[in-house]
Amino acid sequence: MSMCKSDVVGPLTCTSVGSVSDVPNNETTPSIDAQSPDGDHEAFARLRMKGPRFDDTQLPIDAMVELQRYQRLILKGAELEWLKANPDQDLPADFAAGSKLVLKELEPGSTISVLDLAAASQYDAYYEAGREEFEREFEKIEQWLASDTAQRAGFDLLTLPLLDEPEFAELGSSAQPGDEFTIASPTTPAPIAVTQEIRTEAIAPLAEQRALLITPPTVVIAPRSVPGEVAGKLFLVNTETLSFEMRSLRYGKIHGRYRNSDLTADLRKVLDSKDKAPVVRVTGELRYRNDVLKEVLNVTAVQLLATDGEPWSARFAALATLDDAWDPENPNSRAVQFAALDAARAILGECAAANRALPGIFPMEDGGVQLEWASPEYVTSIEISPDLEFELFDLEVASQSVVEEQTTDLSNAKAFVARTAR
Amino acid sequence: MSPLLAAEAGEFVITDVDELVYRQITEPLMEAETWTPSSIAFAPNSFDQKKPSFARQTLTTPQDARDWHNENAKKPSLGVWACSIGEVIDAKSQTIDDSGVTRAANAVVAPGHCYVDYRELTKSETRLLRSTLLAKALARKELTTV
Repeated sequence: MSMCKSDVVGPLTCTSVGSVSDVPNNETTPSIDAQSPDGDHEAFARLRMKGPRFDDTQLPIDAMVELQRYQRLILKGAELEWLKANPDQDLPADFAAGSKLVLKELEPGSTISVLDLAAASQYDAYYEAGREEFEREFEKIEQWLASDTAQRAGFDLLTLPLLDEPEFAELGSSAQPGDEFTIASPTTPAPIAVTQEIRTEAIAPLAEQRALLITPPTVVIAPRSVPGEVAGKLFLVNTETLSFEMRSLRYGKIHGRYRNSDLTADLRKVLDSKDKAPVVRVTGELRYRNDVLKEVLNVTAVQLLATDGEPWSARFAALATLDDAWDPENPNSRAVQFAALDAARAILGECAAANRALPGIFPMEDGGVQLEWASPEYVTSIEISPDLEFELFDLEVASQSVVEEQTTDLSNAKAFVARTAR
Repeated sequence: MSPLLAAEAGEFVITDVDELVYRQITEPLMEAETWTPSSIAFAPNSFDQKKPSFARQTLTTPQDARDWHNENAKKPSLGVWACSIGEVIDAKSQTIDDSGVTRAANAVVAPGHCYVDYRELTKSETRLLRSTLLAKALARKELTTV
């Protein structure tokens, strides 16, 4: 069943995708062979996203990034194949142009995105080889996950070059609890399941190990320690050795140690499984090896990011896990401070009373938080600094009329929500 | 409003008020639910020397600009938004083509590169300019790219 003909993969497809919902019965769950249900078309790939969010064959905007990640991995795989076949030559300038995947249709089955190459290209064979390379590497990673310690010792990470691409570790990261994400193509005997387990237990650590492995020995630098903070989820505390294990979104597994046993109670409060644990920020001495954070020593504080099941909670968790230098183009970008997020939460709570839509929630370079309501007619923002100063701004675009205030009083910032509601 | 600085050697002020300049939007300065960028995305960060990069409509396309960004920048573009030279002028600033600036031999510069001038602006003026550019970009809607 064709649901959304010729929509191009990308953010512009969001409105049309969101409106597609003429599937009478989303209980239908067809298999996701690369073959279409009516058997007349062999797609390049079919990405199936299943879960409550995908009912009625809708593709949420924040899930579309998975299609981009997949496309990026296929292109990188294709480039590797081309370079292998054409040693000592530069990649053709137009190589990437033909690899654009298009979203041909959405099929019922909550939700299957059918991807094809946008147009025939002289490089099509390489794009298909790139897809097979991705599938080969994913299968190897699945085998690694299923193997025991002895078998893992002989695992050859050098055969997994696509792990160098950040999109590999990020693939499937937009999934929410209960979502399922699988990929099928004409060359997969069975659909690939991109699960939370394989992402956190296999892909992330293997990518980290490979990065260390391929770093030339000449640039290996001595461990360095700096005071700082790191955000993540605590999943193990050893009260005898005063140590813990946590998982950072950016660095993967991190070992922690503390000296003051009074911290044990605080750590236990925020301890849970890797999936369920709340986001915390740990303050201590950050110990890096080859610029990868490995340990946090002499921990002095653990802060909990309160999450409350509100519409903004997922966004808060995402901002809370941004470490220093979260913008790779800007080394001055600082980790978002939990105090600023706590103040933002208090302000967001005013929106319902003011009958106002929620604003955009953005990190600021200095570790603060920006709340912003924007339209072609008005732009209103509340900027919360790390030390809890509030900058209130309201612009009527046509007249360039501006209201701008600074305050350290949270109640003034909360009142600004209603004052500027229109 | 602070007075504008003159263009430097190798630069010139773009004067065609109808020409668009393209801005790439990256995570996390995009609200995924409403697909609305932050005004911060239209302003320089502290590493940009108050010269946030845009690309000229007359020298590139939204798609080519996005492709170039994705091949050369450290964060992929989520989409392309635009404002016009006239809108920048109405907001009391200017847009400068810096294609003639002498750069290091290994410097990588985007085709059609230009910048919106934030050099002499105060914090309040910066906020007003970036918010105005966001509003104009929202009125124009996201440009079609993939």
